[in-house]
Amino acid sequence: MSETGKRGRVLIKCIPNNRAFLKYAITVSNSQNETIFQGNTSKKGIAEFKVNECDVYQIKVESQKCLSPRAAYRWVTLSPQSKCSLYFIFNAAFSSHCITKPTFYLTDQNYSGLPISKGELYLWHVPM
Amino acid sequence: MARPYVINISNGTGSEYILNGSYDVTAAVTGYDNDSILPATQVITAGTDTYGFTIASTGTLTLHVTEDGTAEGTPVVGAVFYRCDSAGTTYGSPITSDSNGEADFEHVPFAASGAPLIYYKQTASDGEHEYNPALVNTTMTTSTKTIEVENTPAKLRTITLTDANYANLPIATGTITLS
Repeated sequence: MSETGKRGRVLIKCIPNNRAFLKYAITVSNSQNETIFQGNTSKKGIAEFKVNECDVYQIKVESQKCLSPRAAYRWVTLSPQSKCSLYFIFNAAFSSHCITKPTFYLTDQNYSGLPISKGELYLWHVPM
Repeated sequence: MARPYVINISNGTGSEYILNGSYDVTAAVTGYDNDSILPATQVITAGTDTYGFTIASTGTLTLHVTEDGTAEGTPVVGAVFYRCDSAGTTYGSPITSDSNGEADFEHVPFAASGAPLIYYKQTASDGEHEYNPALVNTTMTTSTKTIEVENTPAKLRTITLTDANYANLPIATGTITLS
């Protein structure tokens, strides 16, 4: 966490190690266990909220089921003037049910079955 | 846009850990038209272990078949060729030399540098010429290329026919068919 200004704004950035665009559910509670913010990040894993009073806040970030951890918690002291960024890292490698290692075949379109000797395929994730 | 998964293809196959989901597919294959990749989108799902893609190229390789293997030689009509892989396995439909002695492999790869090897072999001639059945390879740096192929006229051979029970007694008249 880094204090960078006087106007209150807390930025949450969720980073998966699989480069995919995913949404995350954010819940922020104060020390009285009252929810003061609830919502989803953007598809790029970014969310923003403000607090009205100085307190210790619990920030809960829930990933989609295919990432590890499923939920991450962080407790931070925030004031209305707090301006900070919080980063949450998620790992896809531990959730084998969502990760597969298929075999890709690349052949010539005009000579059925003729294997392409060398090349690269690029798979670009399409946000759901 | 996030970085893509990169699957390195070697001899037609590649494998990579990939998160289930929907993907746009692009390709980088030297010698081929990378925009021709099919399918252009792919859903990766649990339980599916293989995915097939195809890609096309736009070059033309002409095999010019003559009796002496020169551009000016007498053309040989009916010589048959196949595209192959490096092991000699044939793919696609055969091509046959026309009245000019020309047979074209369409849709073959080419590139100014790093073009892939194109393998082919001759599997037949017109029945009156000899041919080399060996696997041949070439590369193309431009979209067209012509290779001269020699199919020499069949050599004159002497055949003898004698009586099986009277050694060396020649058979006066008759016909032997070789097929």
